[in-house]
Amino acid sequence: MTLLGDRPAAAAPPPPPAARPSRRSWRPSGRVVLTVVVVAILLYLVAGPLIMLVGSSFQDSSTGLPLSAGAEWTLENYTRVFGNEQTYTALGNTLIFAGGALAIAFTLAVLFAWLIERTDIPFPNASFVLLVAPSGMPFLIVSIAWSLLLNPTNGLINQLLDTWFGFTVNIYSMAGMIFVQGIGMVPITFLLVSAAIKGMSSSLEDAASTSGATLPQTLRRVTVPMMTPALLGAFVYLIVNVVDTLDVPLVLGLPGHEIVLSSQVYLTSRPPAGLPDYGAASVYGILMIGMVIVPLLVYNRLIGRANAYTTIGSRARHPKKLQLGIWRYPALGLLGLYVLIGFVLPFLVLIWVSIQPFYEGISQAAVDRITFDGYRDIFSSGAVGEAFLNTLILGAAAGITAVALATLTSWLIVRSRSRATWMLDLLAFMPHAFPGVAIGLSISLIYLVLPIPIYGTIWIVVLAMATQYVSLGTRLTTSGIVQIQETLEKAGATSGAAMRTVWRRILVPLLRPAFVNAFLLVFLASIQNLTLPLMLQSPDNTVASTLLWGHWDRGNVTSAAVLSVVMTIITVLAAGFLRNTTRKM
Amino acid sequence: MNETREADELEVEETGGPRKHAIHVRGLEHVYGTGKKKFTAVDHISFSVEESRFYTLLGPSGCGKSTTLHCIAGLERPTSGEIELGDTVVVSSRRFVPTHRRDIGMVFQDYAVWPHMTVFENVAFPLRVSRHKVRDVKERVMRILETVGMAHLSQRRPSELSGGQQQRVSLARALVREPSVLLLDEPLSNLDATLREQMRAELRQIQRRLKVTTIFVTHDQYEALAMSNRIAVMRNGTIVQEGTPREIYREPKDAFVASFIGVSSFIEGTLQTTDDDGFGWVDSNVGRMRTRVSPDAVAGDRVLVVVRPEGVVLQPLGTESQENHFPAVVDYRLYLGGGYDYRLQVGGVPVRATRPANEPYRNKDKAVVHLPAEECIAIPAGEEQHAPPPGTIPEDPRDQVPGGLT
Repeated sequence: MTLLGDRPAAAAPPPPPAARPSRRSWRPSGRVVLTVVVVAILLYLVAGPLIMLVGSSFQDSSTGLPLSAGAEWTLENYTRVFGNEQTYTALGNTLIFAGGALAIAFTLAVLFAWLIERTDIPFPNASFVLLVAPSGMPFLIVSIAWSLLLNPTNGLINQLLDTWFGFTVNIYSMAGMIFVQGIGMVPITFLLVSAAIKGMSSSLEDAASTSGATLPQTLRRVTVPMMTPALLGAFVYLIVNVVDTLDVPLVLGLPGHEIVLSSQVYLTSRPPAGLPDYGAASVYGILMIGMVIVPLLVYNRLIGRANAYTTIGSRARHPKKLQLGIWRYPALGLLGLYVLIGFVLPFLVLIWVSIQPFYEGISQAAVDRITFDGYRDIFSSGAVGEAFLNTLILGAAAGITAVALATLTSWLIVRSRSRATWMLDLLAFMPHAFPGVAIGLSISLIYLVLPIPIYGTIWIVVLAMATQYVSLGTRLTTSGIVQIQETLEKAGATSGAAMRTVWRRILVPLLRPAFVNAFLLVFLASIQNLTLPLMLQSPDNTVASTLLWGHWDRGNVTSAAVLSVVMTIITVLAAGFLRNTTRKM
Repeated sequence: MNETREADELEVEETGGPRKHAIHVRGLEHVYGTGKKKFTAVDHISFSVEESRFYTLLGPSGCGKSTTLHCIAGLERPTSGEIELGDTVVVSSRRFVPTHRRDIGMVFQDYAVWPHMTVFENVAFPLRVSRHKVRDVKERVMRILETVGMAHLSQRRPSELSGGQQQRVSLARALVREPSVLLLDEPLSNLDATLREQMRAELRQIQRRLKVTTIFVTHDQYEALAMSNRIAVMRNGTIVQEGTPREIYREPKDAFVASFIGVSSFIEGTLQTTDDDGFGWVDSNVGRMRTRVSPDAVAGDRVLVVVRPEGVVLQPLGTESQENHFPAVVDYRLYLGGGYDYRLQVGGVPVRATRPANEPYRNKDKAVVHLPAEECIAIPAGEEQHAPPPGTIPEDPRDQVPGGLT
């Protein structure tokens, strides 16, 4: 063998093997310590609020705070809540709201995903970008925009409808809420569905057709069953989101007296007048958990099964695209219409209102009144600067905390063979079933009771946000760690690297894409989130979303519009950045 | 293959004298889980490896060979037992040296080459994380890359390399800090057949030249036979037989070893007498025959006569009366290129023979089979049934006999 040069005799002998015995092994004990620490943190973050919620639901808090001296154990909250007709109305409304919004979102999203991935629709890439762009627009802003367009008094479109056809549409209704929520959820639904379609190896369909199946047979017996877990998974994931949402129910539901569970919790724990009823609010919170826990458990089973039929790994085998023929441009038109309704129209009305001193219809007089005073006022206000700084702190701190915790949790879940794994799994999954209003409520109660001085600061919001999004983060980091073969870590150890070196030199660099992705996602979700900052609001921890809500709630329409425009630009850019990094992975 | 083994044995004699032991494993036990889910992967095994030797743990999947290797590497913590590397006790009841403090290099089945580092950075890693400052990193890395034939690709990323090249990088990384022990965990099984054969030879050459004590884990009998100084055949967490490749092949201790390593035909019988010269007479299912006798078998035992297909000779009819000659029928034969793989029926017992292509026997022909006494060995019959049922084709013989017959 020519490649065998001689080992040079002059080569210095290697340093003596440093097999110094250590009294304890790092491997088991290092892991055990880490497991205990992570479980403890998760217990504090996740189980703590849950216990507080359940505890306060059984306490008479009319005389003081729950779980504190003087509070008495009672079932009174439950009898009161379940004896109240309003409860059943809210429950029914929640079901109608969620069902209707999901129906709209799924119908449109599946149609668009199919058009873009499986037909020869023109400009598929541009269409894709335009379809997901609205996901950067927070629901609070979308709701405000639609209120400006379709409110019964002076909505822009309503004015036109009234003039031309003599009727108006009331957005402050259940139908209006369903419409806005449904339209707003199309982008995220579309992303989930098109990922499922794209991820499916077309060779599976080819195998069906070479077995003699016709196209409809292939669709029915292969394509649809293959996609079912992913579609159902997306469906359940979105059910939880809708039940949880507070933006649309506040902006469009309150004026129309359409109360759902989330707004019920908000109104009960932070009433516009009178004392908060923490006991009843907790019962409503538990009711919400009950509503989402069953579909979520089903969902978790589906995720497990979906892994069993992994469809990823198709090597850029582009499936045959259906020829749309004369329908190509009508299909594109339909897509364009959605983009118009879902993004362009709301954004335009916000811009229009933001440059008006007061809100009125479009007229020559209004054009003459165009002014940028709104922008000047907002940017010269110290409160706005503080709110944006708080938002930045919130996004960054929540992102870092959630991702760090998620990474350690995922690593332990994936790599550990210990019996504590199920507990980590459960703890990391629980926040998913924990509606934001309930988290906000119980965390505010915890820090009202506990002598930890973060109540009323931005840090209580950070804590709540990290709790809320640790599930999301764990899902992303788990899939990141699963993709790293364990032998890459083992090879580090057998090369002489200690555990921390393996993390620093091997795991962290390899996980960087997953980190960036998870961080940006949590960051984006945190700065858009209205629920938690609102539930934990105080004068000192205003963030962009609560500031915006405050202006809107007090009737400062121009300021609200200005803030909406600024925030939309920021979040759409951030979302674009996120999609870009995601695609590169 | 035979020549390689002879060379190995010559080498033993040349270097002569007793060698120091570089590795001791004593009473190693590894139990997974507790209670009802308890599973003993390694059941109190002991062995020692002499310095600079190539030692193979061979067995079917789930036999505990990889667990044993991982215990030696410190990737698993054994339930009990002792492991000594060089002069250092790395595992005992009171002591557990973590992996990164052990003087080892390891190659994994899936290469485990870090995708975010270049070839050079991968190989330099063990030197850079070393607690002792290594000055001539570049020189040492390039030297070992030269040895594995990868120097010209040192700036490549792993994603730009083939499987075989990645495995060379992995080997270089394991060797770069000149460990006293090299651990190989099925390093060739992810490679395709041609590459595997080439890497087999290269790996062995490099090991021999660097004189690094090596433990090699494989389920591939041919790898084990071709590469090892010694082989330990494992089954159900225990070592069934340990010896040189030649001993393992020629004198299998039981039917499991005989059937797992190489192709064997089994003929049942009773050992009647044994002679001083290691031979004896067996009253077998095909008739009375003279065979070598395993030291474990005594007269009166139920035995299995093991015969390898290369040892079987086919003769024309009319020679039945001679010693160890029996009438046979050719069931069918498979062409292997270099010869034929014959499936014979000898008095109702299936016997395989590999013969040159120029012999005249065809399907359903009658012939006489000669089982030379020195090619047969009688081993105690275990309780299990080992001979495949007559008429079945166990596997494609082309997989089992690389290169056909010689």
